[in-house]
Amino acid sequence: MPRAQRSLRARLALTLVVVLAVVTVFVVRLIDIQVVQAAALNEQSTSRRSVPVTTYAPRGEIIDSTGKVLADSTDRWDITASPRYALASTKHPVQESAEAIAAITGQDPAEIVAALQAKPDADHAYVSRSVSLDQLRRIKELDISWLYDEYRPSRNYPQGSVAGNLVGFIGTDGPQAGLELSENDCLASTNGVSTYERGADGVRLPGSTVTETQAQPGGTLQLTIDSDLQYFVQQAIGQQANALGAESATAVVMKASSGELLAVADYPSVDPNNVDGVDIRYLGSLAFSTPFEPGSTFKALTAATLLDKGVVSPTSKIVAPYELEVGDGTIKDSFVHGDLNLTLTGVLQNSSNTGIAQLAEYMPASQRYEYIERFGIGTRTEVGFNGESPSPLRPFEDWDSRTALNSTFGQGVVATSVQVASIYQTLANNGVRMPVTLVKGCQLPDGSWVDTPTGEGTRVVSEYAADTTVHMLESVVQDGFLAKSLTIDGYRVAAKSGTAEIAEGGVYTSDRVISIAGMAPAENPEYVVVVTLTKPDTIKTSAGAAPTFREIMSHVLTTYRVPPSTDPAELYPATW
Amino acid sequence: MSTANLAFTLPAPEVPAEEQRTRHIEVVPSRSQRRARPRLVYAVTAVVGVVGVLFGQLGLSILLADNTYEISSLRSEQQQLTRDEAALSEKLNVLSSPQHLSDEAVALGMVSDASPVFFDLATGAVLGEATPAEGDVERQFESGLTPNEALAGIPVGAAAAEQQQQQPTQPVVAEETDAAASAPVPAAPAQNAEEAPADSLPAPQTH
Repeated sequence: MPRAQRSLRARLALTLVVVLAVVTVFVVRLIDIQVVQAAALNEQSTSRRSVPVTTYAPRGEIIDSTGKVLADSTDRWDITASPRYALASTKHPVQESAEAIAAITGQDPAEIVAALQAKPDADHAYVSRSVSLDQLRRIKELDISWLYDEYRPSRNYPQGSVAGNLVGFIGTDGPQAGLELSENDCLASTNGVSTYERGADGVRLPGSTVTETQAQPGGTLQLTIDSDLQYFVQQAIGQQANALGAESATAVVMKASSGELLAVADYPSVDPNNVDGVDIRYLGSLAFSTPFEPGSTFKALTAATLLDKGVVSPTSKIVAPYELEVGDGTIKDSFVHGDLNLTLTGVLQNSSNTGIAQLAEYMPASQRYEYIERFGIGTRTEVGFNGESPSPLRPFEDWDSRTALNSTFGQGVVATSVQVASIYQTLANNGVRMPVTLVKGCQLPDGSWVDTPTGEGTRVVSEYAADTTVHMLESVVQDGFLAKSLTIDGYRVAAKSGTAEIAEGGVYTSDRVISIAGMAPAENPEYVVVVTLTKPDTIKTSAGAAPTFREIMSHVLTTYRVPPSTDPAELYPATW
Repeated sequence: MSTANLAFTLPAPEVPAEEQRTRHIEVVPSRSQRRARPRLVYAVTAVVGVVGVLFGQLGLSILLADNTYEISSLRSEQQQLTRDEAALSEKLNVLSSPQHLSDEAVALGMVSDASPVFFDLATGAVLGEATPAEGDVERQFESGLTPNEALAGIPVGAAAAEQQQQQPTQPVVAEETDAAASAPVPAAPAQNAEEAPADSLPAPQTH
């Protein structure tokens, strides 16, 4: 009995030890799994079941002042394939499939075959890029097993080159030009990531959605541009540029009371849907980026400056010769004539360089320099357009007597079309320069507006000086040598022509920039129009720009329903 | 055994003498019945409850799983519709571009009047000289000056009208020929049928 008992106890003890040992092992393993490795294992398990999905929010739209869409986001897909499977597939042979795909996408079937054969062992190759929803569905109907699609949010410009110079475009590396680039902060959207767990059949497990970051759509950018007017203006300058054989042309339409740009046209102008369609020089806006010596349109600025200082009146008398000897050179008028007895009004009407140069001597050049700066030359406009030129103004210390005189009639100084428009806006708006505005504002997805312009103007010249200058410019339209092509029935128009020489390598060439800048109705100007044509072939004087100015101005006046002028203009005497 | 003994002897002193006495007097079955009956009810309730909860849970989970599939299919339908909507509004924006509108206008024979005339409502005066619009359309809407790649492949004017008419009229034309084959109708005006498909809105024919 005691022997058997001892043996029983020994066996019990042994069992107990074994059981304890096993339990210990289990406990250790349990702690290891549940506590030590818990985080790593949990992660591993969720990552098996869960998939992170990129959620896309659309980039904001660019719309014109009436709400018409100039740029919007659109869905596109890249069609990709696995060349390895494609070339081995007997059910969907490459040649046959390529022909079916090409029939939908409009590609060359050989191109698709070549893309697949380029790297036969690869698992990824682009078959077709940027196909539309309709094309994608038709390709999917082909049910080709080795074909895949990748979502690619894309950009569409429904109006093409209308305002394409302003809107800019997006390349493969993001925004490349225009407002797409400079207003990217407003337009850009942020993609989100959402992770959910899925079952074996790919369906989301109930209640497992974990949105990690919410996708943020971009804001809507509203411009001051009227796209219908922009189209008309682009057509008008395009026709005239072709007719005259001009290299390029620009036109600006600005609202006099607010400085808002209603149209900024360039010819040639980029179609953002097809960026390669134009020369690289025309990818932006020449009206903002290319300063030129404005020529005689600048005389209005000089006249307003002189009137503001009170050193001349509209009837100040001067004898204007054809040639005038000054210091180290000669100033000439654009046409040969004997000595003319002109008033300041007559000087503008006949666009006499010698006349304005002599009258300007009543005032120190340093003071005129200040006025030129106040009119906005030498600084970028408030728009801050991508690639905009400030039209650098040579420091006054560097001005010689020749430059001082030349600047009175717009040579030796430069301005962009938009800056010229801003000068005429100041005159049209009783001497108050309004900030040049291209963007009305950015509407965020929550409906709030940001980036709205301040709209505070600065007085540059007195109301008397501005209004009198506008009145004098009416003489140019009614009695000047371009009267025939500038007058608009029923309206009083004030405008000034400009034919400026283009300097290349410091020497003036036979090439010209011809322009007309003006406003209407003259008794209370509402709209400013500037037209420029660069390097015309057939007509090298401002006569080439006048019909286009008239065409655009009549269209502006009728489009915005400006009532015709009722009282005829009483003009200042031009001669004495 | 010693343990059995312990169990047996322990409760004995705890039982009060009174109770021991009544046990002999009272009817045992009636008491056990009284105790047993409510116990059974509780047990049944509990079991039924548990089973109910289990079935409920099962039902809920079936419902949930079912709804998940429904949500999943609705989500993909929503995505399809959103994409359809985006594609259609994209097309609408392109069609309403000034280039396309002017091309359509030219196709309809419209011209732009370069010398507008105003009628002053207050005085009844006509400002400007009223002349018929001259049709220098070629110059007015010269194409190629404002290129728009987005319009590629979109037909204009007659071509567009033809394409639009083809789709709705095809079944009508088919019916017409069927009808003509089975029972010859005297001079069935196929053109009329084309002009006014059964489900179309009444509109004048403009050319």
